[in-house]
Amino acid sequence: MTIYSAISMTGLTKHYPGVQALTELSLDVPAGSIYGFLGPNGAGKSTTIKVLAGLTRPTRGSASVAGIPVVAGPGYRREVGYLAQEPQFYDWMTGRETLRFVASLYPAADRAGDDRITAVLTRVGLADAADRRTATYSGGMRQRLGIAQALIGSPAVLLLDEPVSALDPIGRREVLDLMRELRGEVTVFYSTHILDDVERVSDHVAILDGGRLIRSAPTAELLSSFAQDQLRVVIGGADDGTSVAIASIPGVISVEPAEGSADLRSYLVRVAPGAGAAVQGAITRFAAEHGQIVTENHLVRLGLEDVFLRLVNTKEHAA
Amino acid sequence: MTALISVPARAAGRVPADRLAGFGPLFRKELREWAHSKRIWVILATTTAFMVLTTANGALTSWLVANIPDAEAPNGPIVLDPLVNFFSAVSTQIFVVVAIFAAMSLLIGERDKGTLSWVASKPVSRASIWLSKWAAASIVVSIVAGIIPMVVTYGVATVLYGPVGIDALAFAAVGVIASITFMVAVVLAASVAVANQAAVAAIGFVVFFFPQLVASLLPVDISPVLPSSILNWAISPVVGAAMGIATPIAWMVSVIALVGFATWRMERLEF
Repeated sequence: MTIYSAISMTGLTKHYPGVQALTELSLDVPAGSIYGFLGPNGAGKSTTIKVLAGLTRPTRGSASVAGIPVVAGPGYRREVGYLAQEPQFYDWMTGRETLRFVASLYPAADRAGDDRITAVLTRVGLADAADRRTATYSGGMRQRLGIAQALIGSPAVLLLDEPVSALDPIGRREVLDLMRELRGEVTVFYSTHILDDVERVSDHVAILDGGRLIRSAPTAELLSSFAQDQLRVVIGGADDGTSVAIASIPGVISVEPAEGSADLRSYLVRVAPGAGAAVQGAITRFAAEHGQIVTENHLVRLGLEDVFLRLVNTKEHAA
Repeated sequence: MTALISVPARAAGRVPADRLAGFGPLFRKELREWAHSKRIWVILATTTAFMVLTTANGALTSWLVANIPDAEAPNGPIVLDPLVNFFSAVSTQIFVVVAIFAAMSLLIGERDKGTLSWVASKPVSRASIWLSKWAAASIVVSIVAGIIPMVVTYGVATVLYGPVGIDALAFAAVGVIASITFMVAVVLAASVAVANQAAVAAIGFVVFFFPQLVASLLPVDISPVLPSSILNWAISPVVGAAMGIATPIAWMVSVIALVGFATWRMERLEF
């Protein structure tokens, strides 16, 4: 199967005096995807996006969008729409004038004229405020205008740096809905530290920490891979020896007591990859042999937050 | 197995030359920004008032001495020559000071606010960003701090002292425009080398005044090779002085060097 890569990064490294912001980042972003770029503060997310936007140069390595290398200057930037973390516009321009100015920098958008500008303003929900000065816009409106100006040149890729982190819940939802609508039409590569949003919107995710890529995968695949290594087990009539017995089952890595009562004891059982089904069977047999009743014995579905914390804390490099 | 290959590059169509990509829209944006700015009126009012009062100084002093009995007469004679009084206003070079203050925030202000990085992320060349600011600021400041105040001053001098040759206005206009263009280039070039407006203004003042100060202390006259002497060079035919080619060559070389340095530095700016 062949998937087109909209963004390609190879060995991307960025060193500032005294700070190693990025180390050997290699990543391919499938065309048409919504790609979440996750990481704690200082992980290197903004640096990566600035390199891709052509605003800063990598110390080593290369990056390209739609096959055009980032060093190609204006020719490259025609393929990229960029939204900064805190988008700034000329306060004396209206929303419509802002888009008209940006469109004038893209020959194709310039030729399309005001119809395209009106269409994009309508799409981001700013048609009614189009003739107001941008200085009067709220945070959510500025972010939507930011997406509109990034879209106006019909780029191959949208680069959004923390597009929702500064917004209230309503503004956040508006921007996330807008991003979701863009699926398949343009590749959206965005950074965030809000894990819920990634889980809701992204079809791929990459996790960065300390300037290094920890993991990249389709979101569902990443979550399911972690769902296969943890069991929640609840046993009636269990005693102190039960957890010791479970821990001795081949394939079990650890057993942690969870919430429970004297009658029903709960355990979180971490198992080796691929050993889940065998361990489940062994636990059921053990309980039956010892007159204990198993009321729960299932794989735990982890949220992205659990996966993220586990990856960042243990630095399981498996990219 | 899944293979990821790059999306084929799209046909670009006819696109402007990359070295000056975006210059036209950026230049128009700069002119519109000046037109929206209140400072254009402040520059016009202060420069015009300063130059008119300087030109009117001879007539005012003469009137005061004649009409106020206790007025103290100046030590020297009161000069009422039209050309001398017109050039007394032009030679203050107030427009140079104004040009420094007007241009010092153009790049750094945008960089601090974040709009410079926003524009730099668009398909424009960094050289176009700098050149559009230089061209627009040179034109606007030349008009509002140079040409208009000078024309008003010319009219005032004519009314107060008698006719001033039109050649004086024409040659002075050339010198004023060249001086402003040079100083705006100095200030904008400094803006890509240092990060705050005070330092940019300081560089502007040093570049303009320090060589003239040094020249006045040296036994040899080096002022003809100073680009900041371009106004004196321009009006030299009117005042009967020799018009050499050293000054315009020095001016041109300096401007080319400033543009070359600034566009080179712009390409290396990181945001």
